[in-house]
Amino acid sequence: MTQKRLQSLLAGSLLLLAGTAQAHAPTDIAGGFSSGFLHPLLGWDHVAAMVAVGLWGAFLGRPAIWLLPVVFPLVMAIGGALGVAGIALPGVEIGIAASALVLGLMVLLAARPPLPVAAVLVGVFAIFHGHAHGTELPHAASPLAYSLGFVLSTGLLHLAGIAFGLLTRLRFGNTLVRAGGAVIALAGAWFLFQAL
Amino acid sequence: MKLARPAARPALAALLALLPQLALAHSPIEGIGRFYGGLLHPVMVLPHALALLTFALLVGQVGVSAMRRAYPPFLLALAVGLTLAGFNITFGLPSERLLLSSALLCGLLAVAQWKLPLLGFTVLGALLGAVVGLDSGVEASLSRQETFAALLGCWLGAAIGLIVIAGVVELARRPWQRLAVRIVASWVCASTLLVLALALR
Repeated sequence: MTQKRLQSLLAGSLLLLAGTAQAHAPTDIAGGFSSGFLHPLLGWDHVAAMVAVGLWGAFLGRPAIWLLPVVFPLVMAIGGALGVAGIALPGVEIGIAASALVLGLMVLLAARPPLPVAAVLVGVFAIFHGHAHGTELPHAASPLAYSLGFVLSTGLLHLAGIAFGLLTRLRFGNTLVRAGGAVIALAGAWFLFQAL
Repeated sequence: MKLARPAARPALAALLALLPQLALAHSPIEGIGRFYGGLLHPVMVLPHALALLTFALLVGQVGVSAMRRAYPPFLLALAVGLTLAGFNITFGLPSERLLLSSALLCGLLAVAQWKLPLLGFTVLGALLGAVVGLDSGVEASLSRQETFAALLGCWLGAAIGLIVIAGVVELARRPWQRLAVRIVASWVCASTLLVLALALR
């Protein structure tokens, strides 16, 4: 057998290679979960807004501080469902950038509006964030694992914000948290400038 | 350069050994064995895990009275479903959608801390057990003993998962613990809502 023939045989045989077929492939699940988990973490606009929601909860007090991590993912999922369904939402990037600016300002000013007003404001922004995640969902290796990943990561960002927000109980904590709000508002202004 | 025919044969044999392996529909971790594969199946298959998790959260929130009504029909229907799946009788159910819908319904009830009538736990338990069982079949190529081991493992895995999670939730009485349960339920709801939207589009 000549070398040329052997090379052709090798090349042809390599086409037959394939991984083990599994109905519930763990690699798809792990890949989908990790890409979903990282999606909110790798976008600074998402991170800033999610942490700001938690920080603002500290100023809004009970029950808002604990209602946010329960209600926010559900409202975000509605935005995500719109994205999955292919229903276009105008100005998604602007909405996400504006969310960081507005929520950062709320923390900076230690604003305490009535609960329904705060809920509507956060809910509107949640729809923009959900829409951005939802449009990525159909392309994920495992949509369910992807959605679990990004919901979990968003929830953990909230909880991180709430944990930092609890610093307001310390002596200089109030100033520290409001300074955090100022940084988020500045970042939001920069995101908005870029989006426009 | 010319190679001798005998030299090409081992190379060809080695390549043929790399051909696709047997499809393992229900071994979440390769090489773990049929029984343990079945035991982990309800945890490793996400729609099953989420449906069982939210049902367990709901049962645990209500407490012992719900457990009394939910466990027997769930365990019985699961056994029946697994037996039918063992004979490759699955009725062509859209299992994933049914399981995700169940996860969404139970999750929303848990978020709202809705006191479901006790009969509801019986009905939900029976339906969930049947769907999980019917969707947990094994490859037709398995021997009778391997099939039994896989199905028994699956039955035990689902039963242990439900009973342990519901038990932990029932013991969680402090306000922050109750809140944590609702947060987990809302995260599962958000996730399943998105995937259902994808499935229905």
